[in-house]
Amino acid sequence: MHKTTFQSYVVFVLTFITVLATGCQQQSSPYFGTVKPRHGPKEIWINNSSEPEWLDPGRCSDSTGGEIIWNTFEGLVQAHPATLKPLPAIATHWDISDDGRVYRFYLRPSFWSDGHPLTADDFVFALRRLVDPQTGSKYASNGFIFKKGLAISRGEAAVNSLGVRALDSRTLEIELVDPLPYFLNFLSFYSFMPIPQHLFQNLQERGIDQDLWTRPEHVVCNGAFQMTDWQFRQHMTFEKNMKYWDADSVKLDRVRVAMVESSTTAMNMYVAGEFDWPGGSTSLPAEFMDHLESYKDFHRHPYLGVYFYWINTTKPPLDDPLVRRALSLAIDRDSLVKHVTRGGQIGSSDLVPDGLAGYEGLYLPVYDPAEARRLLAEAGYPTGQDLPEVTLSFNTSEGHKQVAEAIQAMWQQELGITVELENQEWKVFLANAEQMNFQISRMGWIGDYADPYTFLELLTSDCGNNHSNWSSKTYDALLEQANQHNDPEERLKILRKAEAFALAEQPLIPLYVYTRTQLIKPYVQGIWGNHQDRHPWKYMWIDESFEPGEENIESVNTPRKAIQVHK
Amino acid sequence: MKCIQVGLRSDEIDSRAGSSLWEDAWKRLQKNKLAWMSGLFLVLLGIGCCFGPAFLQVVWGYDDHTQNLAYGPQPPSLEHPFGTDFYGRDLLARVLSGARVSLSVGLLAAFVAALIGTIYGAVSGYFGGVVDSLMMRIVDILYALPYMFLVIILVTILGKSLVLLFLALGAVGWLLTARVVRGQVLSLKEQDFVLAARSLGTTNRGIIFEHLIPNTLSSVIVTFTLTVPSMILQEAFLSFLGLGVQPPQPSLGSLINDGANQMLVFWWTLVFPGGIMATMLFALNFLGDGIRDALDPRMKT
Repeated sequence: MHKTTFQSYVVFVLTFITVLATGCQQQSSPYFGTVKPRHGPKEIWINNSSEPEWLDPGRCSDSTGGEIIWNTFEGLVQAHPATLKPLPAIATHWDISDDGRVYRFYLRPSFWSDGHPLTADDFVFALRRLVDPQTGSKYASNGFIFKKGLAISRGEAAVNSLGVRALDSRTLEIELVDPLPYFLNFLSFYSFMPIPQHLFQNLQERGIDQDLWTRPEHVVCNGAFQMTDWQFRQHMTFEKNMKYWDADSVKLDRVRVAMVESSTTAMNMYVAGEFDWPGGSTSLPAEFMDHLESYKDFHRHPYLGVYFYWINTTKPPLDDPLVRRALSLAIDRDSLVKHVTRGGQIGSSDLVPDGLAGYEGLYLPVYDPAEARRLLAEAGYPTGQDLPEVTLSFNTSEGHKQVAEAIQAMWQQELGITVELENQEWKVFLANAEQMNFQISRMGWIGDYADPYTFLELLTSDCGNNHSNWSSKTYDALLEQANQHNDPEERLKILRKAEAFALAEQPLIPLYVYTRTQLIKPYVQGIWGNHQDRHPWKYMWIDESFEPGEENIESVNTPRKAIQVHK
Repeated sequence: MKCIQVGLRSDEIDSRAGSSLWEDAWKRLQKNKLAWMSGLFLVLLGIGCCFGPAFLQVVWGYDDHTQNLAYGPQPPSLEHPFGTDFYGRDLLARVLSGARVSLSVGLLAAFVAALIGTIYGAVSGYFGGVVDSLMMRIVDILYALPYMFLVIILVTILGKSLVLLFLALGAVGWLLTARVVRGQVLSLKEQDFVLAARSLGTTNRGIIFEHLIPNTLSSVIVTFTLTVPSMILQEAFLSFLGLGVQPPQPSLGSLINDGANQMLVFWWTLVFPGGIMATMLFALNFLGDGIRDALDPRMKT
């Protein structure tokens, strides 16, 4: 009997070593994983990292939901997949008033997926709903650019007084508060998608909860794809929307979107061919960065996003700005991006990335442990042990955990502070952030348009995505003043002043500016790297003629095939 | 008795003078090489876990939580026999400290399980009848509950503390011991020494704790040695899910989880914690097997 157990032990050890040895084997292929699609030529399998919080354009505020909305709805304008320049979409052309405040959009004749005609009223309905306090959208602030948007959101004006009007069924007039230079770029954002008003009436008549309108059995959309199946935490299936105005240029018939949170699992599924593209919102595991570098299907491009930690400024001891600044200065950001995230990110203590639309970064110190200790002592905690334990929350993902563990150790080693880590599922995490049920909470903010305002707006008092509870009249006034300026140079200067003012109080701790690293199967065409990480599925297609060894692979930065854009 | 001793040599007298069950078992265990070596390995591992991290700190200046990011993941070398992890921490120190957590969770949880299980089983078996039926139905119900879910719920409610983790694991791990002890007590209580004790006026409590439980100890010990590895696995599983020990404190489960994510690029982060874990579990099982064989009188050769 003992002999057998001993033999089984030997067998086990040998198997263990063999498995490991096969795992460690260097791959001779220039591609990471399989190079033949495991499905038909009109289909693509991608990942969207987690169960989205909302698929409702009026309520969504996270990138996992945004990815779906962008591909199932179409707004007045769409972003060019490579340059993000505004292109005509539902609007064929538009007029702009001389003062830059009034836009008149002329809509093409188009239909919802149920055959109902799409009218300018659907846009009016959607945008009113966005700012309506009854909707309770975290992204209502996107509607503050429209005249009366802020007042309506505060409940001080009637919803129908919004500066968005349907002149007739195919003409829409939008009146802005300020002549925003980035307005047309911003207009392709998912918050501004039309919403099928007739579906809401229909659901109401049938006595069905209107919040369920985005479920696959009810949803009516006007974008390139339509959801046909939603398996909770498993996957969603999308089919081509035949009623889409530009259906002729949509090459795929079906898109399968999985929800795999773990970046390692997503990468392994990519290797096995379960994913053709692990998706826009899935990052690659940091450990593999150096290894992946040599593969041809690995791509890297700049990304307009900032990774930071929100601080709940209402709970002691973090209600003291000195403590918050000490925490920020104790983080060695250069080391963090070089050794932990490893994807070429740029360590930064600024909220607005340097060089964004001509903006000059603040270049706040990225690491100063001596000053951090001094600030902490000044706040009344000469040694960090006196500081009550703080909790750092993040949503489940190895990448976030790695950053959190590194920072936990930095705070422990530099300041002697004990930090507890807590990981939460994405929806729970967002709910806790919204209810201010945290002390320090991880967040990433992707610019909605190429202007510093998209980041600075986060700290305004009326912004639903401001989870710090920090607010300042001075700051709000500075931003308002900036947007009323006609001189772009002067405007940026005021914005810069506002950023410096806010960061002196440190309601959040910026860590680094993102880069996007991704794996794309060599037979997938029509994905371009852009700084907002928007990847419309309508341009994607499977290149059946691809053979491994073919060297003219399309890079995300230099597209091989020209984009055909219908105007 | 005296007449038997006449004419025997002194060494024979010793062997006849009656060796206790424990002495016999100890002798048999010594003959079982695999069990004996497993025991030695476990003792060495135990010493390594207790003093290793402190030793490494004093001699080399490593501990299990100080990060040195620039010293990234490094393969094993003379300086770091197990290499370093993603944050530049010495993996040997982390594996030892993780094994300490795993071993102590295993031992403590198994102890809690044995304690609850023995008392529960003895009471149930001794009183019999309605009490027995009722108590055993409770055990059946607990058996029917998905064990891991129960632990996960307990951990979620009680919070992620290490001590609570021991208790949560032990508190749901006593079912097997309870059944084994009950079975033994059922047959033991019919024997004459219990009758004798009762006629001498010993209380129920006295009979259970002084007469019945000591007689079931051999099977309790066997169950205990086999519960320890299963508890270690449970803890590793919980830590793997992120519900066990919290960073920066390592445990073998969390080390293996980290290692499994990086095994294609940094093989040593999986091989060493995994190897130690596997060897430890094998050793515990061999030792448990050995003790069971040693304590079983029918195995006498």
